[in-house]
Amino acid sequence: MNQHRETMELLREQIARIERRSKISDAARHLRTGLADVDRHLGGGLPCGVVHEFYGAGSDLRVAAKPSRFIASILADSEGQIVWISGRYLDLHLAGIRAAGLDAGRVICIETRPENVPGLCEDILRERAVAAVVADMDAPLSLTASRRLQLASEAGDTTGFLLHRESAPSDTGRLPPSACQTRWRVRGEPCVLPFSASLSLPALGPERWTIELLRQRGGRSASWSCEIPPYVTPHHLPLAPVLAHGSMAPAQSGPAGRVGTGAAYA
Amino acid sequence: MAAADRVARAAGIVPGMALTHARALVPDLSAPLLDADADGDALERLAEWCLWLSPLVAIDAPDGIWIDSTGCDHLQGGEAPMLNTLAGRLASLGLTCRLALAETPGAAHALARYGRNDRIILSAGGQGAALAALPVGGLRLAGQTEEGLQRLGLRTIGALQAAPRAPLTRRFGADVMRRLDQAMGTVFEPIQPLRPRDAIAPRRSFVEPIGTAEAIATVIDVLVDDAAQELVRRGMGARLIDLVCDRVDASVQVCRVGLAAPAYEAAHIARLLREQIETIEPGFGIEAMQLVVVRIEPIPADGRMRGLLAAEHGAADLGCLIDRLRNREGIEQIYRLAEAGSHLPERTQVRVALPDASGRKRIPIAWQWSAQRPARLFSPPEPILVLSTLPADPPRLFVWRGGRHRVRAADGPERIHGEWWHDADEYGAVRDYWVVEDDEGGRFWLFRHGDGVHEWSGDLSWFVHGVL
Repeated sequence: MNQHRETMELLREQIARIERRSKISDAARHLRTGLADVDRHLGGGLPCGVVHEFYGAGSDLRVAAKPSRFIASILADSEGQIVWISGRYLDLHLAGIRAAGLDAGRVICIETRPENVPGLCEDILRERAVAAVVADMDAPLSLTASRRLQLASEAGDTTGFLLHRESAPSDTGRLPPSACQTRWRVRGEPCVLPFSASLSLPALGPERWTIELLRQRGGRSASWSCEIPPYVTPHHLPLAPVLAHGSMAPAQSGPAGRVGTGAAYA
Repeated sequence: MAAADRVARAAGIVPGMALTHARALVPDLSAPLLDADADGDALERLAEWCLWLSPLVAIDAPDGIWIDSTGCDHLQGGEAPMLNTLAGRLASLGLTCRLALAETPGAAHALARYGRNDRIILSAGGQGAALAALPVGGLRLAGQTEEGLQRLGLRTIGALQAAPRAPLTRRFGADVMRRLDQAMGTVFEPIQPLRPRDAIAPRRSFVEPIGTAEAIATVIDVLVDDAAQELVRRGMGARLIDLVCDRVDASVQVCRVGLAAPAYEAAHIARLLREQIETIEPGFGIEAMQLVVVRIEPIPADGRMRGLLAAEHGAADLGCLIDRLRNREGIEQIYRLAEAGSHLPERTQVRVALPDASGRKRIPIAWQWSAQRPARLFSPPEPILVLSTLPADPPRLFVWRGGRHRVRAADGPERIHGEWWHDADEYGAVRDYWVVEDDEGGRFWLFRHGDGVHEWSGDLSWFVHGVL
């Protein structure tokens, strides 16, 4: 009887190894987004060693500036070298990604030809010395290609971020199938305007984003609305952001300026 | 008869003639026995003698020498004076020569042997026209192939160029078209430069030819170990390494890896070479492999001393990573972004080559932390069509990339002045930056040329510089 149990244990272990679940379940290997609700939903943050996809929305669809900032703020939590690949002129702005919390000294920028992006991305994902790879995708990725990237990511234990820019279908269009672990869409919402007595153009309120988790392997999809406070210099105290329904949120002490210092409400 | 001097030729003796025939023509002919090895040694000595002209000299057996004179001609006063000097010095050694200067080794080979003059300088891209009239013998083909081509009526290189490629490849193998492409410059052909006698070049020959990736990897490890020990003994690091594989069919495969900084670590070099295994075609097997350290440099003392500290181990790993990335195919640019002391957004960052050799410590500029900046900067800024605006305000309605955007809130202006210390035209130029939000929640980073009042400060045109 005892022997049978041991055999079963062995078999379960083997299956887990085949399914490569052992790594994903490892709680320590997550990248925190900094948004408490999102991290709770994902069980600690975005898992490492898999590929995540990001889409922009609205006027940001082809530029994908908001997802870029979101990725930069997630990567601010990681350690090690980050490779950012683009198939054409890479328009990253140093001041912008640093405002999202990411140190540009860790980012290696690579420019290549558009047709080389998926292949190069796969190569670098297999590189163990790299912590994460961000790729600006200009062409849609087939299911097979995304599966290859996912396998490379698991083999190299590197986290991949695919940023769909020119390849993004229209806002409401069907997204192509993919083998990636999660798929996100970041959308800007009209902000809450501060009270203004004058008739001239009002000033901006804090930024509001809707972060949609469109798809998650082995998990539920979800959507959050959150406020990104105006950027504060590091020597300022983090202020407690006011929630939409008027109560006060506990002050969070993250690195100032990260997207995650805002409050999230589902 | 392998060769004949000028007097013998005048008497009607040509190479290829039978000795009895020649003796019949000139009874008192002096005909020493051919000693190919001695000829080879003499050619090698002559090649070494040519090193005064250029560091890259290769032997073009059995009777030629290639000199890669790229970047050397100005030392002799130009290309024509360089050839004159070379011819003069060779004449003073008692040698007659034919010189040809061309873009590719193949073209130079053909012109030196079959060209009209004994001194030819081919301008860039002129191979096609210059080689067209030359016989196919100039392409360094095997004797049988050359005969076969002539039997087909393809006597000149021009005719070969015009002929369909596929049937010729099927009949004679890929060699014909490869040689043609190499001569024309469409396929790059490396020459095997003469190595200094003290070069680090460990070599292993095998009892049985090898062909599997594992076997090649094992040999690479052994060769790299030998080379690394020698490098450590000399206190030098390798910058450029060639792995030369001799195949059973007498052809040679070379793969080359470069290193961003001089390195002697066996693990690092072996890893770079192992990634090149895929590019080696073993064919019927490899019978010998040689590792040639082409370029060595002294290791900077401070760079290695820092490597001893635990905190700096990351830096050593990074150099290794960058080497591996750089040796991959398809990468056009690899760099980091760094601060540049400027106020204009497009000048706030510079691309720094990896690894950063300047050693400058870059400190972020404090004022840049205070303002909102987009993560993606349009280059150049995209002009927008403003439909409704007030003089000192941002636009209320604008068109960007074909979409209308109605502005509901705005922050600004952030005024940035032109940098007159760079360019006198920028004196007095002003940009007013605004962050605006449209009805759908999209945020844009707009700027206007000019302060909105004075003509001299700008022409009041509006641009989007990024999306927030």
